Amino acid sequence: MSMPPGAAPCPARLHQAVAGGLRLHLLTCVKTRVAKWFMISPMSTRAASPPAAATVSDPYAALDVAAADHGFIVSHPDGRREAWIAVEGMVCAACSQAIESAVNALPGVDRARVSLMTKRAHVTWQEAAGTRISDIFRAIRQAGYQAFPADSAEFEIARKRASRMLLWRLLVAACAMMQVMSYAFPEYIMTGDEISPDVVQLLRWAQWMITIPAMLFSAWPILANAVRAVVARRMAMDLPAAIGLVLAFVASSIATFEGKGYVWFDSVTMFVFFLLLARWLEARARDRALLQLESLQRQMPTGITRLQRAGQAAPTAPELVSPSQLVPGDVVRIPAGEVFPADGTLVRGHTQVDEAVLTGESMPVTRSLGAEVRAGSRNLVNEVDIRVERSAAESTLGQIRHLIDAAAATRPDWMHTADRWASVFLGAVLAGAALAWLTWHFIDPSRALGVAIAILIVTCPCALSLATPSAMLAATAALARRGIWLRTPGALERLAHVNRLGIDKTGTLTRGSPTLVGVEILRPGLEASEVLNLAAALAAWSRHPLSRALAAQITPPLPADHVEEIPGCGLQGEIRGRHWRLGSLDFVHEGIDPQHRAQYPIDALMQLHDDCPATWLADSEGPVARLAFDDPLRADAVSTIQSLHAAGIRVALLSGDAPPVVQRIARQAGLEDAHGGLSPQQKLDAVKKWQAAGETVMMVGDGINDGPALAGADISVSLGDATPLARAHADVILASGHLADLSTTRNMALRAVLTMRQNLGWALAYNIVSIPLAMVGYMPPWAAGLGMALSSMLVIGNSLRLVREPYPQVLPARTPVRSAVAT
Amino acid sequence: MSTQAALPATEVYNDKVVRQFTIMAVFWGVVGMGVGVLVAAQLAWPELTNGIPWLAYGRIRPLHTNGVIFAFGVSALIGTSYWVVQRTCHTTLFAPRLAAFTFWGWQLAMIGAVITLPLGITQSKEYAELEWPLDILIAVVWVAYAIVFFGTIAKRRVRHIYVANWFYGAFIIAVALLHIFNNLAVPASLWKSYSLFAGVQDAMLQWWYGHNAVGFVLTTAFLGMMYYFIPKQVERPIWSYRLSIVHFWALIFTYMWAGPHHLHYTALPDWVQSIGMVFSIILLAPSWGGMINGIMTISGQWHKLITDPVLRFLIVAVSFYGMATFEGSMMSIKTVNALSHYTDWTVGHVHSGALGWVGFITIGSLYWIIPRLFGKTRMYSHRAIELHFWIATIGIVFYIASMWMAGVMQGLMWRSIDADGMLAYSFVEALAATFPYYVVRFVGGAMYLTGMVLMAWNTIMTVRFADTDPRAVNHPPVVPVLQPAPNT
Amino acid sequence: MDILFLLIPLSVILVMIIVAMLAWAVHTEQFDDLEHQGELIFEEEELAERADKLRAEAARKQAEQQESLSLGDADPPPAVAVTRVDLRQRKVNDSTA
Repeated sequence: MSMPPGAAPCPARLHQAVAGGLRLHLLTCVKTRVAKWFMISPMSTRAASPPAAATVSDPYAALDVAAADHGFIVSHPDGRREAWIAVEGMVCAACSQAIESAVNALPGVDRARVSLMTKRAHVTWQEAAGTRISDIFRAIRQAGYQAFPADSAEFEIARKRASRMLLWRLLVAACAMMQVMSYAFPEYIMTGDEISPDVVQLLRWAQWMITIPAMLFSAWPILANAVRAVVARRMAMDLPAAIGLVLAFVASSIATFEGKGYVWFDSVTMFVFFLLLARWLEARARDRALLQLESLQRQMPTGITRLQRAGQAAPTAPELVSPSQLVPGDVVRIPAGEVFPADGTLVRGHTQVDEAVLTGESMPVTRSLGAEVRAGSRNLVNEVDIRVERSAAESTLGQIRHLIDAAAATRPDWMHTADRWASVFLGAVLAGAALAWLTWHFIDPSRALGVAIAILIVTCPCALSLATPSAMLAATAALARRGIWLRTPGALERLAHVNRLGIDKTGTLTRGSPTLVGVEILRPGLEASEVLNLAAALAAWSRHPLSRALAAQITPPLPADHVEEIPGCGLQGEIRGRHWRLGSLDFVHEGIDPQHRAQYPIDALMQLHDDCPATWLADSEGPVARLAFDDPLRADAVSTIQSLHAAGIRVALLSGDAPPVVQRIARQAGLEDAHGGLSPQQKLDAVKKWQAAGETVMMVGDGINDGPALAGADISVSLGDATPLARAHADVILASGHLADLSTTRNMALRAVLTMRQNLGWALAYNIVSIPLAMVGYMPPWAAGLGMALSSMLVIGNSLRLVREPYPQVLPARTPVRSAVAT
Repeated sequence: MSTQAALPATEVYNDKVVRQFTIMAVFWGVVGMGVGVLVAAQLAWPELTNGIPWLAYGRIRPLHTNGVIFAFGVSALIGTSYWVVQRTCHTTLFAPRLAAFTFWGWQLAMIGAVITLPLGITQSKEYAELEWPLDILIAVVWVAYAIVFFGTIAKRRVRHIYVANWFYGAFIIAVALLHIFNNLAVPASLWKSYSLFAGVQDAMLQWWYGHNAVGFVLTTAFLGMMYYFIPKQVERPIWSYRLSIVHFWALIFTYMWAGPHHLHYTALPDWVQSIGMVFSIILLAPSWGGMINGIMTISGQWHKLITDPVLRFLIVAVSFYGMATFEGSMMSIKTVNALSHYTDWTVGHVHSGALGWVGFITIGSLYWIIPRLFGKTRMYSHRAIELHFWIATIGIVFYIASMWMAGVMQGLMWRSIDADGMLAYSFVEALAATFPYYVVRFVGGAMYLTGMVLMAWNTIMTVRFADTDPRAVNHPPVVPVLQPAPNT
Repeated sequence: MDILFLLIPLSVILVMIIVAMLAWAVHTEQFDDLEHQGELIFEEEELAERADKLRAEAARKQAEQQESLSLGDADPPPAVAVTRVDLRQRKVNDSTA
């Protein structure tokens, strides 16, 4: 995308790249030297030169369809509409201002606000003034940015409110802490009766007044959580904290009213502040990860042209509907290049469809009148009409989705262990505090409460609760800088324990699309470049995968006239006055003039065949060339597999493609364990088998046929150019498309786990040392609070190291846990 | 731009009042510093103005402090705040007639100071010497200023309020509060009043006021200036915007309790003094946060310091800010204070902050704003700015070095005890020993004043003779308000 | 220290006012999106000028950036093997491919 018109330009868009069908922007901010990735929508699968076939429908037209599933729009009874739009491509304030200006210029728009951080535009407008939602999207597009519907409006509102409240609570706690500290200080430093009692009392009242908002407002989530835990009869991290807070506050209040005794308002406010700080950091980490990854799930709502409703005899005027509105019996028109929204039967036209997304097979199949087409496959050649057989939800796609959801629900859950241990620990804390109070009650009752409170504060899981999130946030940020997006930070721990990798073939181990690998020139005197030029001239007019591969080689192609594509056969047309054919051997052979045909018997030509798909080029005088394609391995596939093997991880290839092809690729990649011809269910079964043997399984895939296996694995990884569904469920997304990033991710996970352990170790050690000190009364509550604060800082600092250091060598994997069944 | 805006196309910024304040700031700078040089001369040569009652040291010292802080400093602050608030809010000033009143009212108050102080009319409270009629005038002007400033923010067209406005806003509110409370007095006649508080209570209140005056006028307000004019001069946004916000809130929370550090080893209770000490030290953190933010804004552009003297003024100002806040925190420690209190070290500390931070940031900002106010491409003489910088800097060095040495020497002499346990030096002996330092200080101050005079000359030449900016529509320029889409 | 009976309540009230101001600031989204608000002070022409300068700088540094950060499409397509086949010879030889 060139510099957005109309917007003040930003620090250079340095590089545009095309990776596996997705246009990526690498933008390096000159100020900070940090590279940021921006994903733009998938490239259209259209041919380079526009054929006479149907043009791609207006991508925004579907938005105007008043469908209930447009959850990102809220309509008010007074005619106002509000929409939340996700905007991609912004980098600085100038961009957001440009968008705001563009949208505000539309008639009826009350207000448009764009936030750079959340990448959201919030627009309020009056539909009556003539502006439709598609106009707003178009205005943003014209300003030079990509617009997509955000998640549901309710979600947006709720998210904003939640983050605002949390920030507000944190700020109030911070103010309260600082002020209460000021007022508490004199009592600590005074000697004897230096301060007159009424001034002391005044200071205490001041502390009390300022602590009230901290307790009632800032600490509310903590207190509410604790109450909920008590009611549900389970342990929660917040329980000792809440008890400590309430005890300290109540006791201090009583001391203030009575004019004697200790007050701990400073400890209370400090405690509240640090608890909230931990929560706030965690929330920011989550939000940031969520925002980053949402951009990968951008999907425009698709509009389907419905020609005839189910149950009606005659066709109606074509109307635009959304896929979820289709019912069996509807007749819809699917233009070339579009995806079939539901399972159906062809009732008009014939075409070739690309079912790679369902089967992994990249070669298209022909579908003629009466044939079944499956939801998710792509119409390659001709516009056709289909009669819907199953609703979108129930179609093949829907069924696979069910499989995925079911598998995800039974995912191994490691959180139960953590919860169990936490309950035990916290129970011990409460018991210890009670015991200490009781003991001190007999020794020196005036100190009993102080000791108990100190214990509760000192054992506050502040550092503990920061230990993991801070490391995860740091690791997520470090990975993001390298184009690796971690969707579930919790996967880091599982990643560190991986000992088995299941990898898909098409699109994962290989590039996924056919690439030209060989040209056999059959006519002397021609150069390879000329041959390719001629072939590309015809190939530019087709969406067939082989044609796309050819056309990608040469741009711009030579002009060709009267080009015609015959499904299942190939293309024919005139280039520079001669008649050329490109396609299958039979088709091309027929195009040779009869007087020359005898010179080139088909059998002889057939002997040139091998395993790989090929296409032939011939003119009227005879065959000219044979173009061989293959789906080659990614450049770093071999080295990645080697390094993973060296780390002790067993790698297996699971593919839906034909077994001979799969075996060949496996041999090239250096893999012994390879299985071809697998269905999605069979892939999942393989994953389950490994898990039953005690292995931690990582699955790397890119298509819907991997979906169930991805969901069932302990960690799922998909590459940046994977289908939206795969990306939506993957734990890790390698946006760069480099397989080598698998090693990078694993290394970071190992370091993150190490950091988490260090943090936890430190936090526990601090607790273990300070609990006895608090019990014997050597730690006043303020020291407990201070120690907790410092310990939290240490943990955060340690985690930040993850973002800085360079990566170490490959670290070996752990041996799998032995199961009862010997393997 | 938006075609939907129902705004008059001719809405322009109200720069007239900014021009007025800016010119008067330069004027008062020369006057206030001139009086300062006179005062410095009197300290070195006490007989200098003998016999002229209205030039008596005791009377014109407050004229110097009021002249530089209120006449020079506050004029510059009000002027720049009007510029900044309009441009960052994308709107003109609220209540332009009230804004004009703030100018004339303030100048009237300052002229009142120039007349009453040499006549010996004073409340005798440091930085609050003006008697009650002028106090009332100042209060009225201040309320008007608050209305104009906050009114402008209320009618802003940009949702976010730029951080500099927060600093200016805190300054306005704090000064209102401080001014009212510290000047509570019972009038006895037109020009005489008695403070409502007495004794050590009054002292506490006075230094609660005094230090907060330093904190909210000399620090917070000028930080607002810094956060706008440094990025503008460097043409880069502030290094960390988030830090500037944190800086702001941390600063206003900690400043309130640092006042007692002016009263160490006085009748003020020990524990109050200790609080003052602790909070003065804590203050170091937010102050240095601000300093780092300002200096790092030019990271990657350091070469500009060589060629651009205006930028040099601004950055050196921020360095002095860091230095002075560090020095101040150290001096508030009781043991250090035991040496420095009542000596000239305090004067040195004040002036490193005043000349180095406040003076330079104001000078730099004014050099930025003056050409633009008058539709010129640049200041008339680049070399004069360079000369100004070097003269002023050397002047500062002379000033503070001489005062440090004098202060430490005084402190040591005052506390030195001979073998019998008697004071080794009489007060007069210590005073006599200070004489050479006073002379050097006078020279330093005179150099600084010379720089200011250069600036005044440069300003006049710029207004009259500098190249006109071809984009300036009128003379003086009439700048249309930059309008983003409404309700942004 | 009777003055404290004035100063401390005054300060508490002041703190409450400041907290109220903070609440207002949070509510009016003053703290949203802090990364880029620093650029607010630059006006359109200034932004355009600055962007031009930055673009020139960036163009100079482009080579350096490209080396240190690789992109998704860095995989070069495999080389295309070109062979020539003489059909007439093949026909005669009748050899298998």
